Amino acid sequence: MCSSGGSPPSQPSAGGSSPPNATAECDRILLVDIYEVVQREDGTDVNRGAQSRNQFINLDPARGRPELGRRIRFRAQFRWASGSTRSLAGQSVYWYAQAGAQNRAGLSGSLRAGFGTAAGSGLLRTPSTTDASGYTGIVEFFLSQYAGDTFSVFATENSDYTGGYCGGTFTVWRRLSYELDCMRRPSGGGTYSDRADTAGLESKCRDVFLELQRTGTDARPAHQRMIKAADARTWATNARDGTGAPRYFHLCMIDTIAWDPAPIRLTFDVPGGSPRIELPASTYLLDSSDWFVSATYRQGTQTGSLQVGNFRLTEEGAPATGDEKFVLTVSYTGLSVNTARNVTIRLEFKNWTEGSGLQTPTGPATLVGVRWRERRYRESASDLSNSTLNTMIHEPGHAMGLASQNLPDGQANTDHYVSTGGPHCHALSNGCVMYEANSSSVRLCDHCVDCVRGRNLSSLPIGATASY
Amino acid sequence: MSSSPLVIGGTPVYRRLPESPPPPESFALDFAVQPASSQAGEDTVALFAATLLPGRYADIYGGRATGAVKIVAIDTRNGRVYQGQPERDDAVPLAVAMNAQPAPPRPGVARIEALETYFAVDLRRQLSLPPTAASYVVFLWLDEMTSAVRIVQLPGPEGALPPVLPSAGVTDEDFRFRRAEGTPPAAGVEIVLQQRSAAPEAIRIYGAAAPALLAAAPQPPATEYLTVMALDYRSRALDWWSYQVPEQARLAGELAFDFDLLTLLGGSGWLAATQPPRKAFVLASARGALSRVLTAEF
Repeated sequence: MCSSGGSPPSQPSAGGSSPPNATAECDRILLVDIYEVVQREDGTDVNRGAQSRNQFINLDPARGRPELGRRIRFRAQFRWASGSTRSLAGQSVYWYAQAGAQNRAGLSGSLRAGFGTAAGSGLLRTPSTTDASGYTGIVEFFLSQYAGDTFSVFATENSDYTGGYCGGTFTVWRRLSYELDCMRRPSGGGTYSDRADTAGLESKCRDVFLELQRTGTDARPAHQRMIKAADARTWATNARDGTGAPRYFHLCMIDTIAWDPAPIRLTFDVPGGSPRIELPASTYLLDSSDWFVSATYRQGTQTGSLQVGNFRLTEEGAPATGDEKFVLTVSYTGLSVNTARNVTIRLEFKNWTEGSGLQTPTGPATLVGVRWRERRYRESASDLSNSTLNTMIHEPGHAMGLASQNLPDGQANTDHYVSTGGPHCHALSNGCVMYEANSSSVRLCDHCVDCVRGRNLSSLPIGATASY
Repeated sequence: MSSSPLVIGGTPVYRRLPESPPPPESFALDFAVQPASSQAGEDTVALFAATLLPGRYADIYGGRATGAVKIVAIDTRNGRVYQGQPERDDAVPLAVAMNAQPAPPRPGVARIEALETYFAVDLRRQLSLPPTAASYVVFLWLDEMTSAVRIVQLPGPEGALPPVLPSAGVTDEDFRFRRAEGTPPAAGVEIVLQQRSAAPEAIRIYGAAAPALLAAAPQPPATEYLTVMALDYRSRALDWWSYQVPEQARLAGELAFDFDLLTLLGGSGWLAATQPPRKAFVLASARGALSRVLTAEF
């Protein structure tokens, strides 16, 4: 008795002749092979043997580059089991995709995998038919948008969507380009490149199925003691020569990033002799070209004003010795002050806040301040390295849509996501890389891993509140 | 409030504004609040602060002293605590920038006597307060110093109460309402705290609220929650538990409690500096009152 389905697939026979007693009524089709349809450089299609691979879904499809984009095209070839050469037109073929056991559950809408002509159908089964020569039409399968998901695509002659040949197993990946520019150090001729753990960055990104490719050249920009937040975009743009935008981010290792200049009033008891005011660089940051606001003095009944010319601002010490400070030397020339006695000085000056790192939307660029880390972690190479890597992940993480307000399944990222000065993650207390303050942790929490795996990363930057 | 002309930006402002309190004449944290609109046009409350700090805080926090100030808001409906600091995220962490054990200045170097700063923030944004209407017990906190408490009404639509998560899972052993040997006396309308043990494995804080505080009609809107808070000196983490005041305690006019400080500080994170000497600043709040800061060193 003939069967129209359910029989296990057979390897194509070496011969091609029909058995002498075969009849059209009891014959059945057998799968010869399943092919991936690849567009050549000249725009024509070619059938290629199936192969498993990583699929970079955030990149635009391109001729001759089947690994790019969410869509993979297939075609299968069948023959009569009997070996008959009569037409195969209209024979039913059944396509199905097996999702990996670890695939993200709960995806909806366009994030879902499926057969069809557009992403997000959610259909993991679809029928098609053969032409006269036994080939099916092109069947399109779209991977999910969730990095790390795997899908195996099968074609079978069995109407219950079992058995058949596998057209390959595909793992969802993304690929971004990044550029690294490292400022020259203030002395010694080197740059801050020795603090850029690019291998660590690339490894951490691979953990979330994100491949990084280096682009551009290191411009080795001239040293600047501080780059102000308002100037960061222009500074980074001037250093940039890489390609890959908008799937690109720019890492800049710099001396110091500074923001929010704030007037601060300090009252000092300045000793007589050679008066000297010291402000530790760990908590003060002064721009030597624009720091003074006002000053007054009092000595007994004598009072008066001091001008910027009464002060000389220098910087002493070094990060390696942890003794960096801004030093103000006071001169009372022309004032009615007994220089041998103490003077009370009320000084108002502009103090900048030192940033750990800064993400600018243009590029997007990440500026990583190195000086404070070399000062703070001078006795721990691993903490210095991890603190820097934390920012190298954290700031591009913002550009990748972290910390996300919602999870890829649409649920609110409750009690992890917070938004104050920016979106951050309160998971693991302060142990997640996307926590608002830098630490020596280089771990993304499970929620942030989930979120970044759900982002399609086809155009950076992505807002934390953006939909997937 | 939508017609308010006052617009408050999304990032802190660090200068004295017309709405700021006058410069404090003695060391103090002071603040004022005003209805405002965010730059996005949402109704909020602007907080304007003026601080005059002893030089010791300048020695510890330097130019980052403003960022060391905690802004605390306790939801009067359920005791949930929201907190933040008037500083942008992604700054060099104060915990690693601060000089936790400042030495006196060397001979010939000026000594800082006082530090004066101002700041203004969008209270809802800076503390990630819910968009719904609620009233909060608000105060500023810098280690041993606190400001006066103000009840602040945040505008917005009516909404569900947010959950009170941090005290979930806390055992009776961790926190108890009871009168114990270590319970301090409390008078007037105060809440009093004291540390009675210094064993390395358990730091017990005992507290009591004065009967008059319980007898007085609560400031509207009523808050019937006791909140205990601890600020870890080194990590700058602020942890808290809130509990509904037992009906029995209200009726009896006697509220006593004790809790394990180390358990409360358990979530302080990667820079808790667990090696001694460790220091934490402890507060309790109920019915709109705030205790004095207890400094626990262990």
